[in-house]
Amino acid sequence: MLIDVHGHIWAEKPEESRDDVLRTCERYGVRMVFISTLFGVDMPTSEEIRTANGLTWAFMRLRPELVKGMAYINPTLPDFEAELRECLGARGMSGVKLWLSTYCDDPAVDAVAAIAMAYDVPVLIHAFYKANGQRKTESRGSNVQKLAERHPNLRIIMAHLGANVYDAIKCIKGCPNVMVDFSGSIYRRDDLDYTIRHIGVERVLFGSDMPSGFVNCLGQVAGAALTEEERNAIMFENAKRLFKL
Amino acid sequence: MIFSEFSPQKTRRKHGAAAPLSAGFFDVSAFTGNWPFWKLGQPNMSQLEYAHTRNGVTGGVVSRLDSIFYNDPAEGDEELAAELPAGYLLALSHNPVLPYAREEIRENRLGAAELRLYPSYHPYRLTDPCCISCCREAARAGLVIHIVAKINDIRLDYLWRQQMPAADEIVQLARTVEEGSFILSGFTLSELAGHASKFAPLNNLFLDMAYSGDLLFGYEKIPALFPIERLVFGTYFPILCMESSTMALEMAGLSDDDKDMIGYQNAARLFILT
Repeated sequence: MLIDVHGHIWAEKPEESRDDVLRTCERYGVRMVFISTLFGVDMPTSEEIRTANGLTWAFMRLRPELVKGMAYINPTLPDFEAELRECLGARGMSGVKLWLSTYCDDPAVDAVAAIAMAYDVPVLIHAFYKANGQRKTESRGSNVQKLAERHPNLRIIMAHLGANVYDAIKCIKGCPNVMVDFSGSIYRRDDLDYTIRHIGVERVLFGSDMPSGFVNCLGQVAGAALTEEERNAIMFENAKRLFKL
Repeated sequence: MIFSEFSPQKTRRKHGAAAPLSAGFFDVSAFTGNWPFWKLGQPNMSQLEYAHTRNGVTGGVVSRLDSIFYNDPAEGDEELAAELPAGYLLALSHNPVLPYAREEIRENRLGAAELRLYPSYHPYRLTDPCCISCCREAARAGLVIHIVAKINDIRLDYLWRQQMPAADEIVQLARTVEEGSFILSGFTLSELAGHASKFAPLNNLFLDMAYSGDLLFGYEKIPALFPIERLVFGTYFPILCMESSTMALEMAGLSDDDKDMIGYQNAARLFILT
């Protein structure tokens, strides 16, 4: 059994990435995947956001048992609240996705947090610290920490373990409202063990960033020093708790 | 909805290959030793051997991570040679800028099977005369020449920035030392895609798949980029996760024959395994 909390459709090639997601779920036994649709731009326009969320919604309707939607939002846009409420309300999406358009601790995100808490859904935050090639407003663990401390009742997923566990994990250690996924293309042997040592297994979710390297994430769970109970917690129990399934 | 327990082994059997690789895996890029940038969970030879056994890997080529950062890499290589179990081959971690590097490669007193180069950490270019002469010496001594283009993901290099060798340098070295056999490690499939037309025609260049996990269904995509008979299986353990490497090949949508070629047979040909 496997619940993947982090998957994508790419709006530039929606059919191909949708098919890759379905093929992955079928081949590797994924029971549920939380999908957001992204454009390959840092600052999507209102129209791009609407298109992206429309693609997610269409995918949800195509495979309602398998696909749950995450509303992709650019909090710097003046009309983001209406789009977010539409996604979480009428379209029944399960959470919010924040990517590159602003640091996640920017004051503009406070309104996103308020709406997410009102709808009782978590926020998935891209956090990725790179020594080179950092994007202009790309969040890292310290940004997630500030948002989490400002909104202790907001349920947060910090994606990718912040990319560099040694930068991010200690930042969010004292924030029990932050869970993490280990999606992304970096699959160091010790990342998961280090994370669990510092924040415990109950705050770790399986997220793959599919259609990127799904099997790497699967391998990391298989390779980590875990009991069967701990492995099940990561693979689906923690997600059930977070999303109130 | 009913959620049952997750078992990686069951998942491997259910969704992976119809049968395990007939000869097991052979790991062309294994390491032991300490790493300066984080505390490795499994740095010892015995831990590498255990992880290999657990994952169906029957042997490999191993170098010592400490050697990369020693002023005289031989100090680390000697320790590794003394503890290398049967089924494993030694890789020398030489630094071509050292004035005695060429001589030690010629002597090969530790009985190594491979010369492992780390141009992203050591101060030379692959096209420098010192590197070319060491590679020629290695080829004469029958050593495979392994270019480790990077070890750590360069996005994580906030303490020490690796300088990955340029693709053109790799091509030039492989052409200049045409009598040598090369393995190239450290390229993701996304990175490889940009250089495939340069690398693919080099008949003496093998590609280690250890860093290939960045693309979903990567193994299915790579035959369009690079000849399958020159792909070799590596894990980068204990830097990277061994299970990620083995499961990626086991569970790929390739024929069992193709998996066997990549997992073992191509390396067996290269290292003349019996």
